[in-house]
This record gives sequence, C-alpha cells and structure tokens, in this order.
Amino acid sequence: MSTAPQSNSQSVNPYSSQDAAERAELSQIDASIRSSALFFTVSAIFWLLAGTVFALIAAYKAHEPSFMGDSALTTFGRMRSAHLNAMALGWGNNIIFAVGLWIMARLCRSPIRHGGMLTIAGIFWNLGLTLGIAGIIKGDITSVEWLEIPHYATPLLAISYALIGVWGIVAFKFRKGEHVYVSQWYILAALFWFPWLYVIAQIMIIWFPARGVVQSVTNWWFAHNVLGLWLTPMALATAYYLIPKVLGRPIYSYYLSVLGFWALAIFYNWAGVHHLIGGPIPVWLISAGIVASVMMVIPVIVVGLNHHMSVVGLHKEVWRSPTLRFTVFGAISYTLVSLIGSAMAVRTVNEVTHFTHFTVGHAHHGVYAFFSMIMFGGVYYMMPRLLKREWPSATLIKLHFWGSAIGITVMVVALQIGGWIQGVEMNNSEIPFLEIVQNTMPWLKARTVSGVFLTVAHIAFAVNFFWMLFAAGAIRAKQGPTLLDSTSEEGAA
Amino acid sequence: MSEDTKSSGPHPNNKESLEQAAMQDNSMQDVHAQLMREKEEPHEGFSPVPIVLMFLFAALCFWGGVYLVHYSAKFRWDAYSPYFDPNADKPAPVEIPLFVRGQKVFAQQCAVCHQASGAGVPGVYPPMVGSSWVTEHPEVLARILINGLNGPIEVKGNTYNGNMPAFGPGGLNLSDKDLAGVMTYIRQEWGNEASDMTVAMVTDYQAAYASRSTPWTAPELKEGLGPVPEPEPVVEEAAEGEAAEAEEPHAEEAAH
Amino acid sequence: MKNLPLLFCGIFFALAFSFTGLVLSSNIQIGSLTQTTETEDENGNPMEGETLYPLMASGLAQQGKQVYIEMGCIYCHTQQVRRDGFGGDTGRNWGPRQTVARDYITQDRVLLGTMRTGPDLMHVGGRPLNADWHHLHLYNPQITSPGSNMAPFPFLYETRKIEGAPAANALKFPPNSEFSPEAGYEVVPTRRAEALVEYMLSLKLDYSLPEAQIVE
Repeated sequence: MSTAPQSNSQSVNPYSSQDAAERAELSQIDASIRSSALFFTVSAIFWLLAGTVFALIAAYKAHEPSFMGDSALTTFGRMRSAHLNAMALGWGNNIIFAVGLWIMARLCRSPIRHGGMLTIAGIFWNLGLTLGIAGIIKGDITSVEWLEIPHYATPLLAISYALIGVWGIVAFKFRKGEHVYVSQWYILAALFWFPWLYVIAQIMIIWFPARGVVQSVTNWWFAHNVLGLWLTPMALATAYYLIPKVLGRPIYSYYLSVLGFWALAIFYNWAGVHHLIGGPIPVWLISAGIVASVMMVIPVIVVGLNHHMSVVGLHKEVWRSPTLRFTVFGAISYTLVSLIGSAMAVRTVNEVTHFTHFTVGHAHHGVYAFFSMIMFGGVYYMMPRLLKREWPSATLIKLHFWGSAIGITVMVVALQIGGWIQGVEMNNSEIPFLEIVQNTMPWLKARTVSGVFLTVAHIAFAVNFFWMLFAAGAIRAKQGPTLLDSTSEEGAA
Repeated sequence: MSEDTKSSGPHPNNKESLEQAAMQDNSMQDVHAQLMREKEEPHEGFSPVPIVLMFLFAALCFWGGVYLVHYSAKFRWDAYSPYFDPNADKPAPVEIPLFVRGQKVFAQQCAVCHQASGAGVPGVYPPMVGSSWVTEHPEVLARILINGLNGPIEVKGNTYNGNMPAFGPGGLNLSDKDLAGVMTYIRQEWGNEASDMTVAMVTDYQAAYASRSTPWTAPELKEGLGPVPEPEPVVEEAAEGEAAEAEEPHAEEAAH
Repeated sequence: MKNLPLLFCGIFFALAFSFTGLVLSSNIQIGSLTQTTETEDENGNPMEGETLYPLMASGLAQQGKQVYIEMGCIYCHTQQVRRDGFGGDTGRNWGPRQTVARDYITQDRVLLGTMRTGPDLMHVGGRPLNADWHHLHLYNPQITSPGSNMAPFPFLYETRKIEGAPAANALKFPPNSEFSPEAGYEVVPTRRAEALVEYMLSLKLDYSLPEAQIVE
C-alpha cells in the first residue's frame, strides 16, 4: 500500500520513459509470480487460522487441564506442537515463499520462469506439512522441539523446500543491474541457510541420532537458527524493502546495512546454545552461546538505527499506510525483543527466566510481534499489486492491526511478568511447587484472553483477504489506495 | 487488463493520461494503477556509521573475549560450571577400601551358595561365620580361593562334601584386588575379626599357587604353610599408597 | 556489496563456522563418551567388575519412554538438573547432583526439555512415590495434586466392571474420592500406562560419575 498521493511529488517524475520501462518490467515480474504467490499466501492464511485454533486449545488447556482431556489427540503437548509447526512452517514458510520470493524477483528484476513448477512444489510443501501435523496430533510426534514432524513427512518437506528455495537463487542468478540491495543479501543467505540447518538437524537427531546431548546442542543450534537465520533475515529483508518503497526515501546508510548483515550472520548462529544454560553440556559451549547472544546487540542496534533514521520525520505516513503501520511495529519489536533476548542469555538473568513462561512470551514476541507483523505488512503491500485491486475495508485492516497489537502486547507482558514470578519462586526451594503453579494461573488466563484478540485480528485479516480475492468487481472501481487515516475510511464502497 | 489501468488510474488528469498512453505504446506493457503510483525501487544512502557505535561495538567485542577466557573452563569436556577449577574440582581417583570392594564381589560371586548372611546352607555349603578356615591362616583361605576345594571338609563340627570352584587364573580369574577384597570382607564381616588380606599378600600367593591345576583337599590345606605375615607392618609397607588414598573419602565424608 | 564471490563465501562460512564450532566440535568432544563406573582408577579407566553407569533402561521403561514422547510430556517437564547454586534444582530435591553429558549417552532420544510447567523428572524414580501414586496422578492429577494444571490422561486407563475379584493392578483411589469409579467398577491401567509408570520409576539419578560426584 502506498502513501498519500501528495507525497508523490517529492520523488522523481514517475512517468518518465525510463521509469515507465522499469514499471513495465515490474508489472511483468508481478505477473510471472502472481499465481504461485497467491497460492502461498492463501496457504499461509489457512495455516495461520489453523495454528490459531491449536493455540487457543493449548492456551485454554494450560489453565483448564480437563478441557478436551478425554482424548489423546488433544493433549497439551500435541496441540502446542501442532500450533508451533502450523505457525512456523505453515504460516511462516508459506508467507516467506510468497513475499520473500516476490521481493527477490522484483529486486533482481528477474521474472520467475515456470511459475507453475513453483506452485506444484508449494502444493507438495503443504501436503507434507498437512501430513506432518496430522502425524503430530495422531501421536507420531518426535518430542524434539521445532522438529516435531514425524519422519515420514520430513523428506517431502525437505525436497519440496529445495524446489521452492531454488527459485530465489535462480532469480538472483539472472538478476539485472549492478547493485545488490540489502534485502537480496538477506533473502539469498536465508534461502541457503535454512535447508542446511534443517537437513543437518534431521540427520543428527532423527535419522542417525548423535550420542546423548550432542542431539540437544544440534537441536538448539537448529531451532534458534530457524528464528535467527530464516525468519529474521526474511522479515528484515521485507522491512528493508517496504520502508523505502512506501516512503520513497532511501535507506539511511549502506554501511549500517552491511554491518548489520554481517554481524547477524556471524553472531546469530552461535546464540542457540543459550537454551541450554545450566544444562548438561560442557560449559564452554554455553559461554560461547552467551557471548554470541550478547553480541547480537550490534546487528540489532545497527538495523534499528538504520530503520529508524529512514522513517524519522514521516510518522504520519507510517501511521496512514497499512503496510508501514504493521512493518514499523515489527521493526520496533525487533529491537525490543532482541535486546531482551540478549539480556535473557546472561547467566544471572537466565537462572530465573529459564524453564518458565518468560521464554514462551519471548518466543511469541519474536515470531509474532516482529516476524509476523512485518509479513502482514508485506501482504498488505503485495496483494494490491498482484491482484490489481484495493483492500476492500480499512476498518478490517484497523481491526487486524489493533487486535494483533493489543493481543501480542498483552500476551508478552502477561507471560513475562508471570514467568519472572514463576522463575523467582522456583529458585526458592521453600515454596511448594503447586503453589507456584497456582501463582501462574492468572497470567495463563491473561494469555488466553490475548489469544482471543489475536483470533479476532486473524479473522479480520482473512475476511478482508478473501473479500479482496473473490469480490473483484466492487473493489476495482475504487479510486486510490486503502489508507488508515480518518479521511479515507471509505471501506469497501 | 488494460481496462484496469484506464478505469483506476490514480490521478486521471489530462497530462498524466497522455504520458501513460505514451508509456504503453513504448513498452507494450500493461502497468496497473498500484504500480503507477508506486515509488521507485529502494536504494540506500551513504550516511556514515556513528563513531560512538564503533566504540561501543569494540567494547562489546572486548567484553566477549574476556568472558570467553574466564568462563570457558579451558574448553574441557568435563567442566559443567563456569567456575570450574581443574585442580580443585577434579575428583581424586578414589581407591575403594578393600572391605567395600569385597562386599560387592561377595554379593556377586559367593552369596549364591554361602548366603549373604555368611551362614551357608546346613549340610551343603559351609558357613563363613566363625569358620577357622576363614579366619585363621590367610594362606589357607587364599589357597581355597585361588585353586578351589574338593572333598570332605569339617567346618564348625559339621562335615561338608562339596566342590568349591577356583577363582584364580585357572578358574573364574578374579583380579588380585577383588580376591584380596573378598577375603578381607569375609574375614571381617559377621563378627569375624581376622586381619586384612592385602593385595600384596594375594599377589604372593598367586605367584605360589596359580600354576597348580588341581583343587585342594582339606588335609592338604594345612600342609606347608608359610609364616603368617605380620599384619601391621605388611599393611603399611605394601599398601601404603592405597591405604592413604582409601582414607581420603572418609576424611571427605567426615568433613561434610 | 558487489563482490559476489565474497558474499557467497561469507554466507557459507558464517554458518559453517557455527556448525563446526557447536555441532561438530561437541560431537567430537562428547559424542563418544562411554559408560563408566562411579569412580575411575588412577589411569581414568573404569573400575573392573563394577557396575557401569548410566544404566540401560529396561525394555518396559523404553516403551514407557515412547509413551512419554507421544504424549508430549517434554513440553512441561524437563529432565536435567542444574548445578548446586544455580537455580533451585538441587534444593527441590530434583536430583542429588548436576546432570552431565554422560548421563544421557544410553538414550536414543534425549529429552532435556526447556519448560518447567511441571517439576523436573530426571530423578522422579528416586522420590518416595510408588507406582500406585503415579497411576492415580496420571489418571487424574487432581487426585494426588489438587490445583495442578497437568492434563489428565484417562485414555491410558480402562474403566471396567469388576468380574469376580478386583484386579490386582486396579487403581487404589483414596476413600470417598470424587474421581473413583462407581461401585462395581474398577479402573485398570493399560499396558501403555504400566510402561509409562515403569519409565517414571526408572528415572533415577542415584549414581555418581567421575566428573559428577554425589557429595554427602
């Protein structure tokens, strides 16, 4: 979604012939990826809704354990894992395949060739995932965190991923132009890192298990890097694309971009061991993880500064544009969640927060408030260009934003306060364990309430999306983009 | 698709419509409304990195290095605490006292017949408790264990006729330490109060009897015995180091 | 960054670096530990003739572990004890000592866990809780631990009419329990429940290792 028409005048004349040729090229690229990107977005939204249902069941069971307690299918462990995999591999990966590949193709100025193949690979990805999540619920769950999908579904996932990821690499190979933009570095790197992580983790934990806690080290090397080297770079790439694109203003500093990228690449992938602080692995591994986690302050500050300086002074435009409202919320969350994460890795803090709901809150802070919010922004920007239509309802966008923003804030605050209390009390062995459990209850109930907010937000998003997708005629007539300021609440017209 | 462009152009004023038309002629492409109002593709400015940040990052890297040096316990596999001290923490290789070792060996090897209580089974397996064969001359006991025993033997007034297996190299081949342990155990458990059977003594007896291929009989056992080694000096002389080590855990336990 | 080979190399080596440093090096360093005795001799070899730890789990316990995995118990229970002075683990008697890498070498799947909605289970078999208690607790945690937020697992049990004498393994509900079956019925564990409880009872950290001695 673009900003107000009046800011158009600030940029170069958009209708000069060179610019027109570029736009024609973009149009061609958009057309080449349209069907596959739509397929991935629809799948992503489906998984987002499915994951929300699983999340609600799990959250409710956490304080009402007898709810759906008569069936092995709906035990907390399985619902939680179904939720995690639906969100990470269903919502997360599908939306990355949609938005990430689209941005990559645009920046490389390279149309996606044979887009049908991409869609077919995407169908197999989603089939594999459906099989995997059905397997989790049925009881074939592996109980390895972030790798719960049973062994009979993972090869399908790995192969279909390879077929999808290669499209991004191919687009990069056939790119035009000298300059390689920062988003391209992130997407290229992430497309390359993810399969490496996934295949190694599968081999060393599931197929040919390494001995003892080497599995755990591999597990957290993988799981944290799914966040750090897959979701994070993709979300940063999207933010790096959307912010200057919508505002028509360059990213503040190339040097900061470079520094941020390489600091992330070097430090983030050592950080995962902080999930094992105090655990049965040699202490030097843990110390290395702690140092890397604290060093993550560098890329976070750099990226935060770069984004902030690119946006500064244009807060009104940010607030009006659905894309930027979500994206900037995500970018701010990135700074916040990463700094908290670095602090949590310090031994004295971790002694309290480890093994508590604090970590759960932190995970949602990262994956939802940062990653998902930026991806929502990406969808709000991409869809009008793919469909040549406008978003039908500004009200639904607002509902989505406020539901998500309030929901995730309530969740993170509740879980982190409750988790901190839980951690302090657990470290005091005078306090009986059941009393601690009781003391977490109000916070777990607050989480369920926050889940209701998020559910409303997701339904609003889905309704708006499918309305746009299917109700073509009514919306096409509309003039101008759907913005969120008070004067443009024309809604669906 | 071209209808799209026409019907929903963002600023349908005259000049722009003309330019749009011109552009379409040039590129023979369809560019729709959203694309037309889009800003140019993103690019970067070249503002310098604030120098304060560089200092901050240098300081962080320095801190990281110091932290790694201090809390990595020299990259040892067996260090699980950041305050690991290889000298203080390393558990001294503990020599288990002969008696304790013997207890385990007895439970595994002997108790099946002689019973955990050492009372044996009347008429079948002779008792250990108060048996002079056990408590008197250590060489007798060593002979029985190393080579086994066959034929009738009188223990505490009852006659047993059994077949005691050999535990020396010709039989079950227990180590000298295990043999010394189990003999010390049976000589001192259940109210028996005989001297230790040291490893050195067993080694000597092994040298003397390991090559013997037949089990002993009761009368043979009492023939040609050497002098009973003086218990006190022997313990100190032969097992000084071990004894000292064996004492350590006790001292530690007491400290706790 | 226009130097693309450099970009590729950087992307490759960034991950290769941590893969080597974390995964491969830990596999080299602790990936071939073997069972050993509680103390080692002067040369660092296991004592002859003594029991090697950690013990292998019995067949039934391994089946129980499979149930533990299928039910997703790991999402609320850890199996690791932090060192004395770091967290309250030893103070809560979750284990007499810190767990170390060697404690897990006999397990095909390591279930360290990262969440303690419920207590740690590394040493649950060493607590004064017998099989009867575990069965009641699994059937419905409210019987043994009122106020717990642990889910009940009634589907691991079978409620059936008593025919003749009550079964020996029927659950022994406390008198007047609101959870006990109606008169004439009894609740018996399925084989999976028996296995799971056997697994619980087999989880014991009652041995020392050369690198992790139980003091006192």
